[in-house]
Amino acid sequence: MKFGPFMQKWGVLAAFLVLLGLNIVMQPQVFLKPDVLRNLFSQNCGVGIIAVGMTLLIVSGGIDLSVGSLMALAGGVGIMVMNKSLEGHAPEMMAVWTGVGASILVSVAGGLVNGLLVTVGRIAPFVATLGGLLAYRSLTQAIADGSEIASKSTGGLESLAGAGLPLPFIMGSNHKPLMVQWIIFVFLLAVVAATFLLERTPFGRRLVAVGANEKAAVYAAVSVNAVKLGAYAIVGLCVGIASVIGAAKLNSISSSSMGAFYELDAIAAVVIGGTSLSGGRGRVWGTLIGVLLLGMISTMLVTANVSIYWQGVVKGVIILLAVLIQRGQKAA
Amino acid sequence: MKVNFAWLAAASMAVALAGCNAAPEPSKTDPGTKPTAQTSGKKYKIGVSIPSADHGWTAGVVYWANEAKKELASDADITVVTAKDGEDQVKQLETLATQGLDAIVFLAYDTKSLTPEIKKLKEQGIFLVSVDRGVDTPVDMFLAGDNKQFGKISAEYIVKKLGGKGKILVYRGIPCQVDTDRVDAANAVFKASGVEVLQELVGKWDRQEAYKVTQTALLKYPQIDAIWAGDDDMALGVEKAFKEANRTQPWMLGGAGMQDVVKRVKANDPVFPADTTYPPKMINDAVHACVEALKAGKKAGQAQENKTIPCELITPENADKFTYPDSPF
Amino acid sequence: MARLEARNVSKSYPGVLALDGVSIAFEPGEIHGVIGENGAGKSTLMKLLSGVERPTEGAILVEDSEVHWHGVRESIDAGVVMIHQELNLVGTLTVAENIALGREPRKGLALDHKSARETAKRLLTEVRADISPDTMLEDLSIAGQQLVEIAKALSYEAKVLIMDEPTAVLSERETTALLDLMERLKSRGTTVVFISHILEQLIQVCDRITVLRDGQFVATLPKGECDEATLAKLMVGRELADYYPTKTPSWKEEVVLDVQGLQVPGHTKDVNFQVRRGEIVGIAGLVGAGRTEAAEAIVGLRKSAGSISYEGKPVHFTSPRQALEAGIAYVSEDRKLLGLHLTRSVGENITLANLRAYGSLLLDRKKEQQHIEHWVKEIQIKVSSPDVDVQTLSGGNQQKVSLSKWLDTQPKLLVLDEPTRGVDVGTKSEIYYLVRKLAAEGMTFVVISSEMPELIGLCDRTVVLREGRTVGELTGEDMTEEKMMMLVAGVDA
Repeated sequence: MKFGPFMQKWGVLAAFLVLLGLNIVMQPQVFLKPDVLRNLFSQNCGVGIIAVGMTLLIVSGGIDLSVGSLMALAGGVGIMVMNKSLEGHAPEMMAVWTGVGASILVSVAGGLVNGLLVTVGRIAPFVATLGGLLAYRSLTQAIADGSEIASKSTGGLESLAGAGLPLPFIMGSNHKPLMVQWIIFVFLLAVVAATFLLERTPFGRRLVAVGANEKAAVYAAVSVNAVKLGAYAIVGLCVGIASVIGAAKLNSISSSSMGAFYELDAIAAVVIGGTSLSGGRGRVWGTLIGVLLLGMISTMLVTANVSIYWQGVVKGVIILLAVLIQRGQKAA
Repeated sequence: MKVNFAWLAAASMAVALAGCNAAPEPSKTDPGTKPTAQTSGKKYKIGVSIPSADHGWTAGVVYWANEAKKELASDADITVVTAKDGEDQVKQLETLATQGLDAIVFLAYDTKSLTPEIKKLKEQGIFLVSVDRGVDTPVDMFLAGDNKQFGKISAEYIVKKLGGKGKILVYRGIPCQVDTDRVDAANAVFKASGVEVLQELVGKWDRQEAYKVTQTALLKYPQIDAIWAGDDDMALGVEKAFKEANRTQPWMLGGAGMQDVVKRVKANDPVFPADTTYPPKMINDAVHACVEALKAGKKAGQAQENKTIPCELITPENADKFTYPDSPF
Repeated sequence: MARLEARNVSKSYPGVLALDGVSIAFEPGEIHGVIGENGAGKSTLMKLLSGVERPTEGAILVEDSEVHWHGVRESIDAGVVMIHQELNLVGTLTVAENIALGREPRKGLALDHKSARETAKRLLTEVRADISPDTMLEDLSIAGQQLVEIAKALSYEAKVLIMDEPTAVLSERETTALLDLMERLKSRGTTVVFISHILEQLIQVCDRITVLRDGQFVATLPKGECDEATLAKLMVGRELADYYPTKTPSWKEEVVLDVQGLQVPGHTKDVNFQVRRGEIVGIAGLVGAGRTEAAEAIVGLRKSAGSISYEGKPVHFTSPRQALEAGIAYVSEDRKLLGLHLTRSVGENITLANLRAYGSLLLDRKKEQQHIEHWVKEIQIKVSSPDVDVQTLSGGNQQKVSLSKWLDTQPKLLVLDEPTRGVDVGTKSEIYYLVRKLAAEGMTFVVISSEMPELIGLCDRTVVLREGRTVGELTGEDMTEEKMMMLVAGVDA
């Protein structure tokens, strides 16, 4: 394979590995610890799951800007439902799972609303979901008085994000077997499921067909509205899972900062991963690498002690380089 | 579909909308801010312009502004507007200026960009009260929290408690003058002592951010003796990261007097031996002071009256003084 | 002195030698036809002549001096203008704005709309297009857009005008106007390079015709020596004895589709026709007669009134999905925009309309692969692998993919809209034979076409539409170009 096409296909992975290698060389005492890799996954599995859903949506020619706000709303409602349930003296875990159910219900409903606005309402996805971006955040802040919604769970909710599987032979920096949280497996499962959906199912084919050429899909007897609605609902589901992870991590939801800018991070991860923003072409594994690349930049900013004022520059430049490398073009 | 990323960024910024429209539960009135008896039939029209609730402290500001509106309902018609950024605040002040107000109390989002608008308001003869941050033109009254003092007293407490030596982490907020004043003042104290600042981490006054950066920092530093978190929200995120990594939790000094943390200080929690105040309630004080001044017949355009709201150290002994059960922060 | 000349030019792409030492000279004031099957190198040659690409070997000369163009801009400046098959216009601008695009007249700093409109009006009159300069381009038919493109090319005052398949999307009347225009340009001294698949048009207007085959120069024939048989023979390198299949009537008496009083708002007023099982029924008419719209209404792509009965029962489909479930499929005339997903693979395109057959939750990829291979083999789609993008295929092969997509759904009635547009002579003939063979096996066809010889050669019967109404029907011996033309145009010959 020639350099250009090779980079187009594997450039994002190359960029990730180069950055990882660079970090290992510069900061071996930190980056050789298995905790770093584990943290890379656990810190980013919320935005990662959303990015996975976003990949499918962008492949179908859509986009969802409301994910971060919807995540705050779903998480907030979930915690409130759980608290109510706990006040009614429900068993802890039962209350927690009731809350989880509520979060997912809210987020899937939010996704469907987006989908209906785009299909039945015939509003451009960018505009339709811009409404959600504003409205869901505002609604969450109204519910929470602009503050946070604290959980009354005593460890049950937190265990969703904290519990995991200790790896038998790998020691963490706390000298105990390294623990891999269940949420990491949920993230990886989402990646596998989305890949499968995109590449092995009729629905995935239709997603691609709608994104590549919507009109031609109509002429090919594809029920375009059903496909789009499905894509938005999937994003909603992903947002719901992410909101549970977010709530469990801090045992609370901040109405103003929970999920803030997640839409940008998720879309950036999708694009870095090599999915075309104009739809019709995409890959889920690329998004996974995109998420990890963004996460690694954040980690690196801490370990390399980059000044607060320069962090944006470093992040921006690395993202641009990662995208440029995939063009696989020789420098002019 | 083509997406313009600048647009996208702008759109996302726009999301930091106000949560102030929901009226909070009525609270029992604080003794210090009891409504003054009505002296005349005149009801003042006052505008309050503040940043929207984009983190815990500003959520507190929004809460206390709305409290003032309720407390002073018999004396003044108060309009509270919240801005999502500096530009937004200018627009809102322009709108307020058309409402025939007697006074405007504002907490500047961004001092530089607000100054020209404030000058215009001054020309209209509106009584102006600036809170927390100064603008580059004299106003009628300026109530300032002392950010340099905030940094200084908290750092001095840490140096003293560590006995002049040890390794600490310092957390920064969102880049702005307030953050710079605090951190620079604290660093000056640390530099003069034997306490070593391992790194300044960027927590953006947000729990989740602080949690994330701490996770990474913990892998880098085997020994951490104390934490200057600078903000209670960040302190809680730091605590979470330590707990998850199974590391011994060093004691911390947060800031701003968040109710959960004040409670723990009062309960002699070893993690929070003390806290530094920077009460969002200052907006409430300012609105009250403004009404008092108007009643006293003060006119706009006279010399600027300066009031500093000192930062205090909250300790288990005086924690009761800083407890407001209904405040969201 | 040749106006424009290709001297011994070769062009190679990775793995392919697309053009192999071709020399052609285009003289001032001639109409020079260039023909060849798809893949013969016509498009590549035109790209070199219009500065889109540069030859690997050999030289391009303008008035005997060699040129090295970097892009279309430079060739236009040298007076060589090409009208592409793919239209390069902006849908959301008006006709006048499109024509002026890039060289907008100004009045001081402001755009001079009035002058732009006047220029557009003059040019549109010149190409005999009855189009207002203020129309939004996207509101025009493809044919209308093509005329705007030609008007725009005229505005460059070109010395050489290269037209790549300009008549492929035009109706008979519009084609006649275009051929007239070529004659007029020629009399002004302009060189016209005319690429087309339609031999009779070439023979009618060209002073000389050059034939290419497999990237090589075959011959340049002067007007007197050009006839269809000779040209076709030179193009394919063998005799084309039976261009159309023999008509062996295979239809039964049963009426499969009965359309009565079909009204598509804004397009048709009263369309009536019947189709019997196993019959091939042609639909003739000018662009704008409502042929495509009527077909789209039948399969549920457009709202309509009137009665349609299918297999004896009244039906009213509201989506192509419903029509497909009943066994009716429609192959669109606009292959690139509506008929195919150009950026997806041949295989994905073939099975897209029939995905249900390969599982509801999970794709049976093995079964899918078998079907794809079946069609590639059965109708001879020339591809290295079914995994390549459709856009890399020639027009003829793209059309075969489009056909396979619908054949895979096993329809009972197939509506073909311009099935041979932009398709080379060899593939055209293959498609005719395929249709006839499927009809003999019981499949029913409705064929919409602007090429009268095609309707006459292929169909059992032809229904003629004019201005949204059925105006007549021709069968057997009555199917002649003269009679059809009279009905189509609504005049007495």
